[in-house]
Amino acid sequence: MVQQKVHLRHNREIARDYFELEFSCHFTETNIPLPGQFLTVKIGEGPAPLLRRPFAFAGYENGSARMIYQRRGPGTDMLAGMREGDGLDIIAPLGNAWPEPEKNEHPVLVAGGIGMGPILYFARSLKEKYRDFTLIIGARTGEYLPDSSAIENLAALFATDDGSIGIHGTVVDALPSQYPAPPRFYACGPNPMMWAIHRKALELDAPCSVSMEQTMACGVGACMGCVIRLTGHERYARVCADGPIFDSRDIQWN
Amino acid sequence: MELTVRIGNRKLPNPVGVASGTFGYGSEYEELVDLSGLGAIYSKAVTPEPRPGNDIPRIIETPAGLLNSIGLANVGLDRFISEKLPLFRRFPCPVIVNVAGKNDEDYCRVVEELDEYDEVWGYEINLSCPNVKEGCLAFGSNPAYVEGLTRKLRDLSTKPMIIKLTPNVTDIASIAKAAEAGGADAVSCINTLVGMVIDIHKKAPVLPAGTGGLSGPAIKPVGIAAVYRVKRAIHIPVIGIGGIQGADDAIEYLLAGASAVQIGTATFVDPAAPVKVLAGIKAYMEKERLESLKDFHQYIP
Repeated sequence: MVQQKVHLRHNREIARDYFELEFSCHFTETNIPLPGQFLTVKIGEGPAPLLRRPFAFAGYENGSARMIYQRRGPGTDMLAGMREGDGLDIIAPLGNAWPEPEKNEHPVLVAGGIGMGPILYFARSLKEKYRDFTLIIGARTGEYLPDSSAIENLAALFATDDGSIGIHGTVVDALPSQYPAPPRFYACGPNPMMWAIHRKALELDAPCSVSMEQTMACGVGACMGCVIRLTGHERYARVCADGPIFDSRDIQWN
Repeated sequence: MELTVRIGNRKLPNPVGVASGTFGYGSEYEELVDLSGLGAIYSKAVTPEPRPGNDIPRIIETPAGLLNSIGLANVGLDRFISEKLPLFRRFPCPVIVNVAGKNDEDYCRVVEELDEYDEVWGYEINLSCPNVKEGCLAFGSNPAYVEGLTRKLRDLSTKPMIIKLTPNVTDIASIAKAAEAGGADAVSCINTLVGMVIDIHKKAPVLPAGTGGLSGPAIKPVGIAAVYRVKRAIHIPVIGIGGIQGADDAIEYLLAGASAVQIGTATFVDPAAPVKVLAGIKAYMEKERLESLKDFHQYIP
Protein backbone atom coordinates (compact mmCIF):
# COMPACT_ATOMS: atom_id res chain seq x y z
CA MET A 1 0.00 0.00 0.00
CA VAL A 2 1.14 3.55 -0.71
CA GLN A 3 -0.19 7.01 0.01
CA GLN A 4 -0.09 9.27 -3.04
CA LYS A 5 -1.54 12.41 -4.51
CA VAL A 6 -3.39 11.62 -7.72
CA HIS A 7 -5.15 13.80 -10.28
CA LEU A 8 -8.62 13.40 -11.69
CA ARG A 9 -9.01 12.52 -15.34
CA HIS A 10 -12.79 12.48 -15.24
CA ASN A 11 -15.69 12.37 -12.79
CA ARG A 12 -18.99 11.71 -14.47
CA GLU A 13 -22.45 10.50 -13.58
CA ILE A 14 -23.02 6.99 -14.99
CA ALA A 15 -26.43 6.45 -13.36
CA ARG A 16 -28.67 8.50 -11.15
CA ASP A 17 -26.48 9.51 -8.14
CA TYR A 18 -23.71 7.12 -9.24
CA PHE A 19 -20.43 8.55 -10.45
CA GLU A 20 -17.35 7.08 -12.04
CA LEU A 21 -14.15 8.83 -11.05
CA GLU A 22 -10.97 8.14 -12.98
CA PHE A 23 -7.54 9.31 -11.89
CA SER A 24 -3.97 8.93 -13.04
CA CYS A 25 -1.77 7.13 -10.52
CA HIS A 26 1.36 5.12 -10.21
CA PHE A 27 1.71 1.66 -8.70
CA THR A 28 4.76 -0.59 -8.84
CA GLU A 29 4.47 -4.05 -10.36
CA THR A 30 3.95 -5.67 -6.93
CA ASN A 31 1.37 -3.09 -5.86
CA ILE A 32 -1.08 -3.07 -8.78
CA PRO A 33 -4.69 -2.82 -7.55
CA LEU A 34 -6.53 -6.08 -8.22
CA PRO A 35 -10.28 -6.58 -8.71
CA GLY A 36 -11.84 -6.62 -5.23
CA GLN A 37 -9.22 -4.37 -3.62
CA PHE A 38 -10.03 -0.86 -2.47
CA LEU A 39 -8.58 2.57 -1.82
CA THR A 40 -9.25 5.21 0.81
CA VAL A 41 -9.69 8.83 -0.16
CA LYS A 42 -9.26 11.98 1.88
CA ILE A 43 -12.08 14.29 0.91
CA GLY A 44 -11.52 18.00 1.49
CA GLU A 45 -9.25 19.55 4.08
CA GLY A 46 -11.37 18.64 7.09
CA PRO A 47 -12.29 18.51 9.85
CA ALA A 48 -15.62 17.49 8.29
CA PRO A 49 -15.80 15.04 6.73
CA LEU A 50 -13.07 13.74 9.00
CA LEU A 51 -12.22 10.16 8.10
CA ARG A 52 -10.98 8.88 4.76
CA ARG A 53 -13.67 7.14 2.74
CA PRO A 54 -13.16 3.64 1.28
CA PHE A 55 -14.09 2.84 -2.34
CA ALA A 56 -13.52 -0.34 -4.33
CA PHE A 57 -11.45 -0.15 -7.48
CA ALA A 58 -13.67 -0.29 -10.57
CA GLY A 59 -10.72 -0.62 -12.91
CA TYR A 60 -7.01 -0.14 -13.38
CA GLU A 61 -4.89 -0.04 -16.51
CA ASN A 62 -1.80 1.81 -17.71
CA GLY A 63 -1.47 4.18 -14.79
CA SER A 64 -5.14 5.03 -14.67
CA ALA A 65 -7.59 3.80 -12.02
CA ARG A 66 -11.35 4.06 -11.65
CA MET A 67 -13.80 3.91 -8.78
CA ILE A 68 -17.59 4.15 -8.72
CA TYR A 69 -19.33 5.96 -5.87
CA GLN A 70 -22.83 6.93 -4.91
CA ARG A 71 -23.64 10.47 -3.92
CA ARG A 72 -25.30 10.04 -0.55
CA GLY A 73 -23.87 12.51 1.94
CA PRO A 74 -21.68 15.58 2.46
CA GLY A 75 -18.46 13.68 1.65
CA THR A 76 -19.62 12.20 -1.63
CA ASP A 77 -21.31 15.54 -2.51
CA MET A 78 -17.86 17.11 -2.28
CA LEU A 79 -16.39 14.32 -4.41
CA ALA A 80 -19.08 14.83 -7.04
CA GLY A 81 -18.04 18.48 -7.26
CA MET A 82 -14.46 17.65 -8.20
CA ARG A 83 -13.23 18.37 -11.71
CA GLU A 84 -10.59 17.13 -14.13
CA GLY A 85 -7.13 18.01 -12.85
CA ASP A 86 -8.13 18.29 -9.19
CA GLY A 87 -5.84 16.49 -6.72
CA LEU A 88 -6.88 13.67 -4.44
CA ASP A 89 -4.99 12.01 -1.55
CA ILE A 90 -5.37 8.22 -1.78
CA ILE A 91 -4.01 5.15 0.02
CA ALA A 92 -4.03 1.96 -2.06
CA PRO A 93 -4.23 -0.84 -2.83
CA LEU A 94 -5.91 -2.15 0.33
CA GLY A 95 -7.55 -5.43 1.29
CA ASN A 96 -7.76 -8.71 -0.59
CA ALA A 97 -8.89 -9.56 -4.12
CA TRP A 98 -11.66 -11.74 -5.55
CA PRO A 99 -10.42 -15.34 -5.59
CA GLU A 100 -9.93 -16.66 -9.13
CA PRO A 101 -12.48 -19.24 -10.29
CA GLU A 102 -11.25 -22.77 -10.90
CA LYS A 103 -10.94 -23.86 -14.54
CA ASN A 104 -14.05 -26.05 -14.37
CA GLU A 105 -16.20 -23.40 -12.66
CA HIS A 106 -18.61 -20.92 -14.23
CA PRO A 107 -18.27 -17.52 -12.49
CA VAL A 108 -21.57 -15.82 -11.68
CA LEU A 109 -21.04 -12.14 -10.83
CA VAL A 110 -23.84 -10.29 -9.07
CA ALA A 111 -23.87 -6.57 -8.27
CA GLY A 112 -26.35 -4.29 -6.57
CA GLY A 113 -25.99 -0.53 -6.31
CA ILE A 114 -22.49 0.60 -5.43
CA GLY A 115 -21.36 -3.04 -5.68
CA MET A 116 -21.13 -2.60 -9.43
CA GLY A 117 -17.62 -1.10 -9.20
CA PRO A 118 -15.65 -4.13 -8.00
CA ILE A 119 -17.90 -6.53 -9.95
CA LEU A 120 -17.39 -4.70 -13.28
CA TYR A 121 -13.62 -4.63 -12.70
CA PHE A 122 -13.65 -8.37 -12.01
CA ALA A 123 -15.84 -9.05 -15.06
CA ARG A 124 -13.40 -7.17 -17.30
CA SER A 125 -10.45 -9.10 -15.88
CA LEU A 126 -12.24 -12.40 -16.58
CA LYS A 127 -13.03 -11.27 -20.12
CA GLU A 128 -9.38 -10.43 -20.70
CA LYS A 129 -8.59 -14.01 -19.76
CA TYR A 130 -11.26 -15.25 -22.20
CA ARG A 131 -13.34 -16.67 -19.37
CA ASP A 132 -17.05 -17.22 -19.86
CA PHE A 133 -19.16 -15.72 -17.06
CA THR A 134 -22.64 -14.52 -16.13
CA LEU A 135 -22.99 -10.88 -14.99
CA ILE A 136 -26.13 -9.62 -13.26
CA ILE A 137 -26.69 -6.06 -12.08
CA GLY A 138 -29.71 -5.08 -10.00
CA ALA A 139 -31.22 -1.72 -9.09
CA ARG A 140 -34.46 -0.20 -7.81
CA THR A 141 -35.29 1.27 -11.22
CA GLY A 142 -33.60 1.58 -14.59
CA GLU A 143 -32.24 5.06 -13.92
CA TYR A 144 -29.97 3.63 -11.19
CA LEU A 145 -28.35 1.19 -13.63
CA PRO A 146 -24.96 2.17 -15.10
CA ASP A 147 -24.90 3.48 -18.68
CA SER A 148 -23.35 1.55 -21.55
CA SER A 149 -19.98 3.29 -21.27
CA ALA A 150 -19.48 1.78 -17.80
CA ILE A 151 -20.78 -1.65 -18.82
CA GLU A 152 -18.81 -1.67 -22.11
CA ASN A 153 -19.27 -4.98 -23.89
CA LEU A 154 -19.73 -7.15 -20.81
CA ALA A 155 -23.14 -8.63 -21.72
CA ALA A 156 -24.79 -7.83 -18.41
CA LEU A 157 -28.24 -9.02 -17.38
CA PHE A 158 -30.33 -6.43 -15.54
CA ALA A 159 -32.96 -6.76 -12.85
CA THR A 160 -35.04 -3.84 -11.55
CA ASP A 161 -37.60 -3.75 -8.76
CA ASP A 162 -40.09 -1.95 -11.03
CA GLY A 163 -39.26 -3.83 -14.22
CA SER A 164 -38.33 -0.63 -16.06
CA ILE A 165 -35.21 -2.31 -17.48
CA GLY A 166 -34.42 -6.01 -17.62
CA ILE A 167 -36.12 -8.59 -15.46
CA HIS A 168 -38.91 -7.38 -13.19
CA GLY A 169 -37.60 -8.57 -9.81
CA THR A 170 -34.42 -9.06 -7.84
CA VAL A 171 -31.01 -10.27 -8.93
CA VAL A 172 -31.93 -13.69 -7.55
CA ASP A 173 -34.87 -13.82 -9.98
CA ALA A 174 -32.41 -13.04 -12.76
CA LEU A 175 -30.14 -16.00 -12.00
CA PRO A 176 -30.16 -18.60 -14.77
CA SER A 177 -31.83 -21.93 -14.00
CA GLN A 178 -28.88 -23.80 -15.48
CA TYR A 179 -25.17 -23.13 -15.84
CA PRO A 180 -22.72 -24.43 -18.46
CA ALA A 181 -20.43 -25.60 -15.63
CA PRO A 182 -20.63 -25.76 -11.81
CA PRO A 183 -21.29 -22.15 -10.75
CA ARG A 184 -19.12 -20.08 -8.43
CA PHE A 185 -20.78 -16.95 -7.09
CA TYR A 186 -19.29 -13.49 -6.55
CA ALA A 187 -21.52 -10.82 -5.01
CA CYS A 188 -21.19 -7.19 -3.98
CA GLY A 189 -24.09 -5.02 -2.95
CA PRO A 190 -26.48 -4.44 -0.06
CA ASN A 191 -26.30 -7.09 2.68
CA PRO A 192 -29.81 -8.55 2.02
CA MET A 193 -28.82 -9.08 -1.63
CA MET A 194 -25.55 -10.80 -0.75
CA TRP A 195 -27.32 -12.90 1.84
CA ALA A 196 -29.82 -14.03 -0.79
CA ILE A 197 -27.02 -14.98 -3.20
CA HIS A 198 -25.28 -16.82 -0.34
CA ARG A 199 -28.46 -18.87 0.31
CA LYS A 200 -28.73 -19.65 -3.41
CA ALA A 201 -25.10 -20.80 -3.43
CA LEU A 202 -25.77 -23.02 -0.40
CA GLU A 203 -28.75 -24.55 -2.23
CA LEU A 204 -26.52 -25.36 -5.21
CA ASP A 205 -23.60 -26.38 -2.98
CA ALA A 206 -21.54 -23.76 -4.85
CA PRO A 207 -18.76 -21.53 -3.46
CA CYS A 208 -19.66 -17.89 -2.95
CA SER A 209 -17.48 -14.85 -2.27
CA VAL A 210 -18.93 -11.59 -1.02
CA SER A 211 -17.44 -8.12 -0.65
CA MET A 212 -18.43 -6.67 2.72
CA GLU A 213 -18.87 -3.08 3.79
CA GLN A 214 -18.50 -1.48 7.22
CA THR A 215 -17.73 2.00 8.52
CA MET A 216 -13.95 2.31 8.46
CA ALA A 217 -11.48 4.48 10.34
CA CYS A 218 -7.89 3.49 9.55
CA GLY A 219 -8.39 1.20 6.54
CA VAL A 220 -5.13 -0.66 7.23
CA GLY A 221 -6.04 -3.09 10.02
CA ALA A 222 -4.92 -1.05 13.02
CA CYS A 223 -8.05 0.28 14.73
CA MET A 224 -10.36 -2.78 14.86
CA GLY A 225 -13.28 -0.47 14.02
CA CYS A 226 -14.60 -2.02 10.79
CA VAL A 227 -15.22 -5.55 12.01
CA ILE A 228 -18.09 -7.83 10.97
CA ARG A 229 -19.39 -10.96 12.72
CA LEU A 230 -18.12 -14.37 11.69
CA THR A 231 -19.55 -17.84 12.28
CA GLY A 232 -16.34 -19.59 13.34
CA HIS A 233 -14.02 -19.57 16.31
CA GLU A 234 -12.80 -16.03 15.61
CA ARG A 235 -15.85 -13.92 16.42
CA TYR A 236 -14.97 -10.86 14.34
CA ALA A 237 -12.96 -10.03 11.23
CA ARG A 238 -11.70 -6.69 10.00
CA VAL A 239 -13.25 -5.74 6.67
CA CYS A 240 -10.22 -3.62 5.73
CA ALA A 241 -7.41 -6.09 6.42
CA ASP A 242 -9.03 -9.54 6.57
CA GLY A 243 -11.42 -8.69 3.71
CA PRO A 244 -13.24 -7.00 2.10
CA ILE A 245 -13.76 -10.29 0.22
CA PHE A 246 -14.97 -13.16 2.42
CA ASP A 247 -16.27 -16.67 1.86
CA SER A 248 -20.02 -16.16 2.35
CA ARG A 249 -20.11 -19.24 4.60
CA ASP A 250 -17.86 -17.49 7.13
CA ILE A 251 -20.24 -14.54 7.56
CA GLN A 252 -22.82 -14.43 10.32
CA TRP A 253 -25.68 -13.04 8.26
CA ASN A 254 -28.38 -12.40 10.85
CA MET B 1 17.63 22.26 19.31
CA GLU B 2 16.79 19.82 22.10
CA LEU B 3 13.84 17.60 21.18
CA THR B 4 14.28 14.72 23.60
CA VAL B 5 11.79 14.22 26.42
CA ARG B 6 12.79 12.68 29.73
CA ILE B 7 10.22 10.28 31.17
CA GLY B 8 11.49 8.68 34.38
CA ASN B 9 14.93 7.22 33.75
CA ARG B 10 14.71 7.28 29.95
CA LYS B 11 14.50 9.76 27.11
CA LEU B 12 12.10 9.77 24.17
CA PRO B 13 13.89 10.86 20.96
CA ASN B 14 11.21 13.44 20.18
CA PRO B 15 7.87 14.61 21.61
CA VAL B 16 5.49 13.21 18.96
CA GLY B 17 4.11 9.73 19.59
CA VAL B 18 1.19 7.79 18.13
CA ALA B 19 -1.68 7.11 20.52
CA SER B 20 -2.73 3.70 21.79
CA GLY B 21 -5.51 2.05 19.83
CA THR B 22 -4.90 4.14 16.73
CA PHE B 23 -1.68 2.52 15.52
CA GLY B 24 -2.34 -1.18 16.18
CA TYR B 25 0.90 -2.92 17.03
CA GLY B 26 2.89 -0.71 14.66
CA SER B 27 3.30 -3.17 11.80
CA GLU B 28 -0.06 -2.21 10.29
CA TYR B 29 1.34 1.23 9.41
CA GLU B 30 4.89 0.20 8.56
CA GLU B 31 4.40 0.56 4.80
CA LEU B 32 2.97 4.08 5.14
CA VAL B 33 4.83 5.71 8.01
CA ASP B 34 8.56 6.19 8.57
CA LEU B 35 8.65 4.79 12.10
CA SER B 36 12.10 6.24 12.72
CA GLY B 37 10.46 9.68 12.86
CA LEU B 38 8.18 8.76 15.76
CA GLY B 39 8.88 9.75 19.35
CA ALA B 40 7.11 6.58 20.48
CA ILE B 41 4.51 4.03 19.49
CA TYR B 42 1.94 3.52 22.24
CA SER B 43 0.71 -0.02 21.53
CA LYS B 44 -2.84 -1.28 21.34
CA ALA B 45 -3.94 -2.04 24.93
CA VAL B 46 -2.85 -5.44 26.24
CA THR B 47 -4.96 -7.44 28.69
CA PRO B 48 -3.92 -10.81 30.15
CA GLU B 49 -6.61 -12.65 28.18
CA PRO B 50 -7.44 -12.18 24.48
CA ARG B 51 -10.52 -10.01 23.96
CA PRO B 52 -12.75 -10.14 20.86
CA GLY B 53 -13.98 -6.58 21.49
CA ASN B 54 -17.44 -5.06 21.46
CA ASP B 55 -20.45 -5.76 19.27
CA ILE B 56 -20.89 -3.95 15.93
CA PRO B 57 -21.03 -1.27 14.71
CA ARG B 58 -18.05 0.01 16.65
CA ILE B 59 -17.45 3.42 15.14
CA ILE B 60 -19.34 6.39 13.80
CA GLU B 61 -18.15 9.74 12.56
CA THR B 62 -19.52 12.81 14.34
CA PRO B 63 -19.02 16.51 13.51
CA ALA B 64 -15.21 16.84 13.50
CA GLY B 65 -15.00 13.73 15.65
CA LEU B 66 -15.01 9.96 15.85
CA LEU B 67 -17.07 8.01 18.37
CA ASN B 68 -15.73 4.51 19.02
CA SER B 69 -16.58 1.49 21.08
CA ILE B 70 -13.84 -1.00 20.22
CA GLY B 71 -13.78 -2.58 23.67
CA LEU B 72 -10.05 -3.23 24.05
CA ALA B 73 -10.05 -5.90 21.32
CA ASN B 74 -6.57 -7.42 21.59
CA VAL B 75 -4.63 -10.65 21.14
CA GLY B 76 -3.96 -11.18 24.86
CA LEU B 77 -0.65 -11.34 26.72
CA ASP B 78 0.60 -14.71 25.41
CA ARG B 79 0.20 -13.86 21.75
CA PHE B 80 1.43 -10.33 22.42
CA ILE B 81 4.69 -11.81 23.68
CA SER B 82 5.05 -14.44 20.95
CA GLU B 83 3.81 -12.43 17.95
CA LYS B 84 4.07 -8.71 18.64
CA LEU B 85 7.23 -8.28 20.72
CA PRO B 86 9.39 -9.69 17.87
CA LEU B 87 7.98 -6.91 15.63
CA PHE B 88 9.02 -4.26 18.13
CA ARG B 89 12.59 -5.52 18.00
CA ARG B 90 12.97 -4.19 14.47
CA PHE B 91 11.21 -0.87 15.10
CA PRO B 92 13.55 2.16 15.14
CA CYS B 93 11.52 3.97 17.84
CA PRO B 94 10.51 3.30 21.45
CA VAL B 95 7.45 1.13 22.02
CA ILE B 96 5.39 1.93 25.10
CA VAL B 97 2.95 -0.82 25.97
CA ASN B 98 -0.55 0.26 26.92
CA VAL B 99 -1.77 -1.97 29.76
CA ALA B 100 -5.43 -2.64 30.67
CA GLY B 101 -7.35 -5.03 32.87
CA LYS B 102 -10.40 -5.67 34.97
CA ASN B 103 -8.61 -5.68 38.33
CA ASP B 104 -5.23 -5.01 39.99
CA GLU B 105 -4.00 -8.51 39.31
CA ASP B 106 -4.53 -8.09 35.56
CA TYR B 107 -2.47 -4.90 35.39
CA CYS B 108 0.27 -6.37 37.58
CA ARG B 109 0.43 -9.57 35.58
CA VAL B 110 0.93 -7.77 32.26
CA VAL B 111 3.69 -5.52 33.65
CA GLU B 112 5.36 -8.37 35.52
CA GLU B 113 5.49 -10.64 32.49
CA LEU B 114 6.62 -7.96 30.04
CA ASP B 115 9.24 -6.31 32.20
CA GLU B 116 12.11 -8.61 31.26
CA TYR B 117 11.81 -7.72 27.56
CA ASP B 118 14.07 -4.94 26.32
CA GLU B 119 11.64 -4.26 23.45
CA VAL B 120 9.30 -2.74 26.00
CA TRP B 121 10.51 0.84 26.58
CA GLY B 122 7.88 1.61 29.19
CA TYR B 123 4.22 1.36 30.11
CA GLU B 124 1.14 3.47 29.69
CA ILE B 125 -1.42 2.32 32.23
CA ASN B 126 -4.90 2.61 30.79
CA LEU B 127 -7.13 3.74 33.64
CA SER B 128 -9.47 5.50 31.32
CA CYS B 129 -11.08 3.31 28.63
CA PRO B 130 -14.78 4.26 28.59
CA ASN B 131 -15.84 1.20 26.58
CA VAL B 132 -15.49 -1.77 28.91
CA LYS B 133 -17.74 -2.77 31.77
CA GLU B 134 -15.06 -3.70 34.27
CA GLY B 135 -11.91 -1.87 35.31
CA CYS B 136 -10.38 1.06 33.49
CA LEU B 137 -12.72 4.02 33.82
CA ALA B 138 -14.20 2.85 37.13
CA PHE B 139 -10.65 2.73 38.56
CA GLY B 140 -9.43 5.87 36.83
CA SER B 141 -12.01 8.11 38.45
CA ASN B 142 -11.02 7.16 42.00
CA PRO B 143 -7.85 8.94 43.26
CA ALA B 144 -7.19 6.50 46.10
CA TYR B 145 -7.43 3.58 43.73
CA VAL B 146 -5.17 5.23 41.15
CA GLU B 147 -2.52 5.90 43.78
CA GLY B 148 -2.68 2.35 45.10
CA LEU B 149 -2.44 0.65 41.73
CA THR B 150 0.31 2.98 40.53
CA ARG B 151 2.35 2.11 43.63
CA LYS B 152 1.92 -1.62 43.05
CA LEU B 153 3.02 -1.29 39.42
CA ARG B 154 5.90 1.00 40.40
CA ASP B 155 7.25 -1.77 42.62
CA LEU B 156 7.24 -4.18 39.67
CA SER B 157 9.28 -2.14 37.20
CA THR B 158 11.89 0.59 36.96
CA LYS B 159 10.85 1.39 33.37
CA PRO B 160 8.94 4.58 32.61
CA MET B 161 5.41 4.32 33.97
CA ILE B 162 2.80 6.64 32.47
CA ILE B 163 -0.75 6.83 33.79
CA LYS B 164 -3.36 7.60 31.12
CA LEU B 165 -6.08 9.80 32.56
CA THR B 166 -9.75 10.07 31.71
CA PRO B 167 -11.46 13.42 31.16
CA ASN B 168 -14.72 11.88 32.38
CA VAL B 169 -14.22 13.06 35.96
CA THR B 170 -15.04 16.16 37.97
CA ASP B 171 -11.44 16.97 38.88
CA ILE B 172 -8.78 15.51 36.59
CA ALA B 173 -5.99 17.24 38.57
CA SER B 174 -6.79 15.19 41.69
CA ILE B 175 -6.36 11.96 39.69
CA ALA B 176 -3.06 13.22 38.28
CA LYS B 177 -1.84 14.05 41.80
CA ALA B 178 -2.74 10.53 42.91
CA ALA B 179 -0.74 9.05 40.02
CA GLU B 180 2.25 11.21 40.95
CA ALA B 181 1.95 10.22 44.62
CA GLY B 182 1.90 6.55 43.59
CA GLY B 183 5.21 6.95 41.78
CA ALA B 184 4.19 7.54 38.15
CA ASP B 185 6.83 9.05 35.86
CA ALA B 186 4.31 10.91 33.71
CA VAL B 187 0.60 11.18 32.94
CA SER B 188 -1.03 11.25 29.54
CA CYS B 189 -4.22 13.17 29.10
CA ILE B 190 -6.74 12.83 27.80
CA ASN B 191 -8.38 9.56 26.83
CA THR B 192 -11.68 9.81 24.93
CA LEU B 193 -14.77 11.61 26.20
CA VAL B 194 -17.94 9.62 26.79
CA GLY B 195 -20.41 10.36 23.99
CA MET B 196 -23.55 9.02 22.36
CA VAL B 197 -25.14 9.19 18.92
CA ILE B 198 -28.78 8.24 18.44
CA ASP B 199 -30.18 7.04 15.12
CA ILE B 200 -33.45 8.99 14.90
CA HIS B 201 -34.93 6.53 12.38
CA LYS B 202 -34.26 3.46 14.52
CA LYS B 203 -34.81 5.54 17.67
CA ALA B 204 -31.85 3.82 19.31
CA PRO B 205 -28.15 4.52 19.91
CA VAL B 206 -25.96 3.72 16.91
CA LEU B 207 -23.42 1.89 19.11
CA PRO B 208 -24.84 -1.29 20.67
CA ALA B 209 -23.15 -0.38 23.96
CA GLY B 210 -25.05 2.92 23.90
CA THR B 211 -22.09 5.17 24.60
CA GLY B 212 -18.60 5.31 23.13
CA GLY B 213 -15.44 7.37 23.37
CA LEU B 214 -15.19 10.60 21.39
CA SER B 215 -11.89 11.60 19.76
CA GLY B 216 -10.81 13.92 16.97
CA PRO B 217 -10.59 17.69 16.46
CA ALA B 218 -13.87 18.20 18.36
CA ILE B 219 -12.22 17.38 21.70
CA LYS B 220 -9.04 19.43 21.38
CA PRO B 221 -10.07 22.34 23.64
CA VAL B 222 -11.05 19.82 26.32
CA GLY B 223 -7.63 18.21 26.12
CA ILE B 224 -5.81 21.54 26.23
CA ALA B 225 -7.74 22.58 29.35
CA ALA B 226 -7.04 19.22 30.98
CA VAL B 227 -3.30 19.51 30.34
CA TYR B 228 -3.33 23.06 31.69
CA ARG B 229 -5.07 21.99 34.90
CA VAL B 230 -2.99 18.88 35.41
CA LYS B 231 0.32 20.65 34.77
CA ARG B 232 -0.44 23.15 37.55
CA ALA B 233 -1.07 20.30 39.98
CA ILE B 234 1.92 17.99 39.43
CA HIS B 235 5.67 18.06 38.78
CA ILE B 236 6.02 15.03 36.50
CA PRO B 237 5.71 15.43 32.70
CA VAL B 238 2.30 15.63 31.05
CA ILE B 239 1.74 14.03 27.64
CA GLY B 240 -1.00 15.87 25.74
CA ILE B 241 -3.55 13.96 23.64
CA GLY B 242 -6.82 14.90 22.06
CA GLY B 243 -7.68 16.24 18.63
CA ILE B 244 -4.20 17.07 17.39
CA GLN B 245 -4.42 17.30 13.60
CA GLY B 246 -1.47 19.50 12.77
CA ALA B 247 1.61 21.12 14.31
CA ASP B 248 -0.33 24.15 15.55
CA ASP B 249 -2.52 21.91 17.69
CA ALA B 250 0.53 20.17 19.17
CA ILE B 251 2.16 23.55 19.88
CA GLU B 252 -0.97 24.60 21.78
CA TYR B 253 -0.56 21.52 23.97
CA LEU B 254 3.13 22.29 24.57
CA LEU B 255 2.27 25.87 25.52
CA ALA B 256 -0.41 24.59 27.90
CA GLY B 257 2.23 22.59 29.74
CA ALA B 258 2.64 19.31 27.85
CA SER B 259 6.14 17.86 27.53
CA ALA B 260 5.16 15.54 24.69
CA VAL B 261 2.06 14.76 22.62
CA GLN B 262 0.30 11.83 21.01
CA ILE B 263 -1.43 11.79 17.63
CA GLY B 264 -4.46 9.50 17.36
CA THR B 265 -7.42 10.00 15.07
CA ALA B 266 -5.37 12.27 12.77
CA THR B 267 -3.22 9.29 11.76
CA PHE B 268 -6.36 7.65 10.31
CA VAL B 269 -6.96 10.76 8.24
CA ASP B 270 -3.34 11.19 7.18
CA PRO B 271 -0.72 8.60 8.18
CA ALA B 272 1.93 11.26 7.60
CA ALA B 273 0.38 13.48 10.32
CA PRO B 274 2.86 12.55 13.13
CA VAL B 275 5.85 13.29 10.91
CA LYS B 276 4.31 16.56 9.73
CA VAL B 277 3.56 17.59 13.32
CA LEU B 278 7.17 17.06 14.37
CA ALA B 279 8.43 19.06 11.39
CA GLY B 280 6.02 21.85 12.30
CA ILE B 281 7.14 21.90 15.94
CA LYS B 282 10.78 22.18 14.84
CA ALA B 283 9.97 25.03 12.43
CA TYR B 284 8.08 26.86 15.18
CA MET B 285 10.93 26.42 17.67
CA GLU B 286 13.38 27.80 15.14
CA LYS B 287 11.18 30.78 14.34
CA GLU B 288 10.43 31.51 18.01
CA ARG B 289 14.02 30.78 19.07
CA LEU B 290 13.05 28.08 21.52
CA GLU B 291 16.03 25.88 22.39
CA SER B 292 14.23 22.99 24.02
CA LEU B 293 10.72 21.74 24.70
CA LYS B 294 11.03 23.09 28.25
CA ASP B 295 11.17 26.59 26.79
CA PHE B 296 7.50 26.28 25.83
CA HIS B 297 6.63 26.12 29.51
CA GLN B 298 7.63 29.69 30.24
CA TYR B 299 4.34 30.55 28.54
CA ILE B 300 2.08 28.27 30.57
CA PRO B 301 -1.08 30.33 31.12
